[in-house]
Amino acid sequence: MKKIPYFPGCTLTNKAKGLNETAKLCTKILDIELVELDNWYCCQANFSTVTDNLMNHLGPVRTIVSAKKQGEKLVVLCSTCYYVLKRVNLLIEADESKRKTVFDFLEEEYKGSLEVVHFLELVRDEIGFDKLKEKVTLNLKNISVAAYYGCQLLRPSKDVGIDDPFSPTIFERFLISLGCKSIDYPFKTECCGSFLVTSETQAVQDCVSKIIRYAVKNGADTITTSCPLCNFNLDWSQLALAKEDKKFKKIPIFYLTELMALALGIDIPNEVWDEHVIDPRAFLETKGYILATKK
Amino acid sequence: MKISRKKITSEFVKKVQELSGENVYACYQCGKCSAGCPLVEHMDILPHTIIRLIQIGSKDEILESKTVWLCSTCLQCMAKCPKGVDVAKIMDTLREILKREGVDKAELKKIADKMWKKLPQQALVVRFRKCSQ
Repeated sequence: MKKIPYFPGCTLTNKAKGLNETAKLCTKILDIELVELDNWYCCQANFSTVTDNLMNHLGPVRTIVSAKKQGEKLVVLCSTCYYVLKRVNLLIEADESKRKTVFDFLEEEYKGSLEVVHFLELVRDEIGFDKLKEKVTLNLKNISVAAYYGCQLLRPSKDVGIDDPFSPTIFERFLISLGCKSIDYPFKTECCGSFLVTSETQAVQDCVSKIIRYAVKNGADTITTSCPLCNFNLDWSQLALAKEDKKFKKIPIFYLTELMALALGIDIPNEVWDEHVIDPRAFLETKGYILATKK
Repeated sequence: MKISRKKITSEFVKKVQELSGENVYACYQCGKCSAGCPLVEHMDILPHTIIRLIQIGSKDEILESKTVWLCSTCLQCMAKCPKGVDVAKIMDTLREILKREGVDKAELKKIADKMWKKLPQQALVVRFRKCSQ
């Protein structure tokens, strides 16, 4: 089995354990073992764009240095971590003077750039959608899923884009491989409101409202994401939306690896579903994908 | 009368351009950034107007606006700008200028108790990075 280091980041070991655990279980079935990177640091959840502050890049650079010691490739699950690590990696590669300053400070030697890949890229390029399809034991044909890309997997496209920035299809192809019906809708690459959820709840609610209403209007029964913050915003904001509008029907929000694990026949522990705001168990029971007794 | 950008000597404009690495004068006010911004309805000054205000050096008006703190850096504006201006980067710069003057908008007290239980750590990390020094 091929071993590849991966970066968990802050949230995957806390509030998004489901994403972390299901990803590892899924890749094992596909002959890849995701091994937690030794000596990793917080990605800062933000790529600092101010030209005079290199301090904010130190965490990600330290992670890149660790990863480089363990191989040529680093897999990232969370969209934010992917975005930051990829951009810092490119900055360090392209800007000789900044690279020198940072590495002199860290007292480390720069050993060339690292390949930072998102989980979806790993499935597409390393595993292949055909192989994934072959391993599916539970066909999810009863679920209509809207893929939500958000921002950080696509923009800026020349740096981080895992697919076409305006009409990406990688996520949909992934879902189709699992047997799901994939739903297209206009807001799949729009912002979920991000960190504003803690202060500007109304603004985030408005962003989420558009995303969910359009997805549902086009036939989706659920939305899937690869970012814990997008996932939380889409999940949490529905409580307020349902309170304001009695006709609003709440839908469960899945991590991409949760659906993948279901399709691959993995027994998902209840702790994973407990992390959700809107419990997906009832939905999965009506679709016939988990047994009612499991709750 | 000769009109020239060379005559603009505002320290503020220089600082914004230096910190962001962006040429604010490239903007010709088409408004595509504002049209594509998912948070625009909650802003008091439209994103393209912020750029215009920087061009004319209207520092106070910009730094007092809500808009600066409402940008989530989703980069829709950057992706859509026909002149290649990274508006989100400029918003980051404006926040940085304010933070260096001692402004702190982490606003953790605004977080509802119920939310803490489910809130991903990442939301707090990015909030500190964006809104606090």
